[in-house]
Amino acid sequence: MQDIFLNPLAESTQSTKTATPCVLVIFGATGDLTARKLMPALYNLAREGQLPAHFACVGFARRDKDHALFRQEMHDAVSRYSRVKPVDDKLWKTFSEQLYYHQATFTDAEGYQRLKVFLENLDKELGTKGNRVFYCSTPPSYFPNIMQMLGENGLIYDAHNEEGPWSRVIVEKPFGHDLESALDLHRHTRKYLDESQIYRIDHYLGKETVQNLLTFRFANSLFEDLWNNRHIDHVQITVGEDLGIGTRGHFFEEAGLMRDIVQNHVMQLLSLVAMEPPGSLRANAIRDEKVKVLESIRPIDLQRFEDHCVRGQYQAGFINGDNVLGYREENDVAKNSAVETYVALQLYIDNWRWAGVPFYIRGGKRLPKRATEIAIHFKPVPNVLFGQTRGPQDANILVIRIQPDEGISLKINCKVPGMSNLVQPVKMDFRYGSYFGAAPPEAYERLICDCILGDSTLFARSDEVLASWRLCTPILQRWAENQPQEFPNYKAGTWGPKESDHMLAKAGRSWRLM
Amino acid sequence: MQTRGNIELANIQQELVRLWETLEGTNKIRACLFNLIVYTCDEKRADYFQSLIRLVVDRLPCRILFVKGSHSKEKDNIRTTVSAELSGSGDAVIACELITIEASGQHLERVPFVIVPNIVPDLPVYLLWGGDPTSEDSNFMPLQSIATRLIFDSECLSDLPSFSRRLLAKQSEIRPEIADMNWARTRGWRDVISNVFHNQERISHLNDSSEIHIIYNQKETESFHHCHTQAVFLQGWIAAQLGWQLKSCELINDQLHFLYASKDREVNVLLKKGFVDCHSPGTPLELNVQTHGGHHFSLKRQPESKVVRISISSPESCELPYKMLLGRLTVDQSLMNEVLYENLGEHYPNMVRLLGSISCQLV
Repeated sequence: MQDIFLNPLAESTQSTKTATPCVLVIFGATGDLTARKLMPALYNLAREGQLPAHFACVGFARRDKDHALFRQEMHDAVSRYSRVKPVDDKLWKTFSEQLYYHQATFTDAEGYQRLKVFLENLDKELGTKGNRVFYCSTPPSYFPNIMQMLGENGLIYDAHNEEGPWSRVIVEKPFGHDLESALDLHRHTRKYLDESQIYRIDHYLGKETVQNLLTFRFANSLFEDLWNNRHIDHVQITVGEDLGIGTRGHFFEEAGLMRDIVQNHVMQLLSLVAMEPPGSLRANAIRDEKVKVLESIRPIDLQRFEDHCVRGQYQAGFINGDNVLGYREENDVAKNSAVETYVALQLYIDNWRWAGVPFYIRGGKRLPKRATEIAIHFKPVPNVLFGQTRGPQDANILVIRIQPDEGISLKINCKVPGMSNLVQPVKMDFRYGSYFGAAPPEAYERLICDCILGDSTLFARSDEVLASWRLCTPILQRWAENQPQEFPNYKAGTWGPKESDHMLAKAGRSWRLM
Repeated sequence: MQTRGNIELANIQQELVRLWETLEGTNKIRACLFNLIVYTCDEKRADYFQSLIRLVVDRLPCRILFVKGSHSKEKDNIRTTVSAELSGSGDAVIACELITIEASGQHLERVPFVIVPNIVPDLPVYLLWGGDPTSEDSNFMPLQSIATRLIFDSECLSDLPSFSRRLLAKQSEIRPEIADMNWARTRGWRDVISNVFHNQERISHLNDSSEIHIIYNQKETESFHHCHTQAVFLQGWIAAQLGWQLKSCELINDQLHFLYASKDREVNVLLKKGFVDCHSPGTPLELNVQTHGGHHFSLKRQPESKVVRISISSPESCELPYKMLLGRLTVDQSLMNEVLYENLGEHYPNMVRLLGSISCQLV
């Protein structure tokens, strides 16, 4: 990994990486993401000794507060949201002394000029050597402006000057609204930043179980020979949430599920499942292979659109013991909203490995349970020996559980003890919790740490994002041009509209019951 | 058995995890071969199903979702308990998960929403429907849609012919394979009968029947009231497989009379009540076949055993009696295998079609 500092005094077997001094500036530090994810992540990195020795975090936001108030608020947030509780008071004292607050607006150049001075003073005081990470924890509409301000006020350095300090910018999804806006954002960003300085977060890539996809596939010889169209009947990828849209009505009305989950998280999972083995574990080696997959996905045939794309919207139902409202009854949602809360797609990857293998993708809100899984359905055996083996439902299934109950299971068939040849499916099961005991780090911990280290493996590259938009934009356009007549079309607490079942039933398949 | 009562519906999985954590380090092995949903709205039969669950757990570890429903409007709530059912001993104590859901009133329609997220994925889902599935229970369709196999308990049916007709009418809507507890219970007898009438000659004798008497165990219990069911199934099976046409069915002096046409002959089938305390309610005790040609076949279950004594005679000779076992395994095991695993074939639907043509009340 090209940007990692290799300590000549470190043992070659040492697995921990060493991060260089830096300041992390969080734009939108008074927002929800900082409280729930970023600050707890930083605290836990500090707790595990993963932060640089010389480090500071500056919250940049509009609200009027001072360092002390910001530190107190962050203490409350970490107390509430950290994966490890209670907060260690001694550690917090040291950690909080590295937290600062800078009041300014995103659009005012004067605020950035003051920021620059402030950061230079921190460099002198704390030895952070001018290295910068800028985290845009803001609504996406602010990204272009922030990057412009950073660039125009000397806060972004030349990426090609390897002797000097470095600067990096982390942005959160969505990266654009469709292909055209994504291209615009990309062009605008490239005016001020080199691609190597942009870290596009998809927090799914920070999950241990997603990272394990590469290890599982390429550290085990057992599966690679089977990982193709000769042995695999189809693949199902499900990203299901039992929650509704909560307080994100405004955002969701603009975005919909395709933009919220499918265009990013699902496409990342698909590319990791389907990619070819990379030549190395360097960031671009892996990302090159992911892009190849995305670019091999067959564009949706608009003549047979309904055969490949299903959308849905939840109505009132019952989840986890509670009555829940329908989508159109949620706050900040139009009573006649046409926004989808469920998407199911049938995709094909046109390459030698996957030709003819359908990838069934589904994502949805207010499904019966929260579950993200990848299910590899192998082809059934010829039905000549065991009359009980009746078809696809008895075929072997390898399931990679991304969340919750992280792990991997394999469904196989066994003989029922007794005098006959009855066959019973059983499961071989690996659970992270059972084997590894301690809870793995949160996704944001790994991602922030990797950005500080300069490792972009777990961040989306521009061509990945654009390839994904090329696939999804025609679908979004088609839906925008054709208002749904039947919304809402599935009850909260069920697995989606019946059209989604029909999409698989036409090919003699069915969604796996999760 | 570890139990936590009245837990929040949202906490079922959490409670299961907690339950297993308390069992960790003990000699309990957690196992699950399938999901078994047991659904009944008949409070009187709940104990029976509880004993059935015990039977299943003792043989085959599984996750059980036991729904005790009530249509009564007086109670209107939903409660859940979670427990670990243990079987075996020593180093091999197997623990299964039992999730019990009691729902009544308006909350009854929420049952599928509770069941679906708590199914163990990738394993078969068996739905034991403790009621008439063709009656109007709104939970039937959503639950049968997730089931691999639908198991009826025809003991819950008061009108077999009517149920058969409705079942045939609904065939296209019912997705999973169908099994029937009472049908499964007749497996032993069906095997014995097919072994006795095992060749063309014997089948021709059976087709030449003038009288068939079936004596069944009229041993009513709290859970069993329709003791004639297995006998009805048995004679219906014989008739359906041999292509007999039902001409009439009557209840005379508390005995069921069926009249069939077999080619150019008539066959009288009579179902009689008997009583043997040591045998299960409803189990056939004896089958006697008298043919027009003077042949006589007697198949009689021996007291306190699973053995059937077979005596065959003709006008010219009398064969030495011999014995056959009702099933090679214990009745319980064969019941489980039949209900959960065996291919159902065409015999059951053939028999159901025949029963559907019966127009009289059977009780």
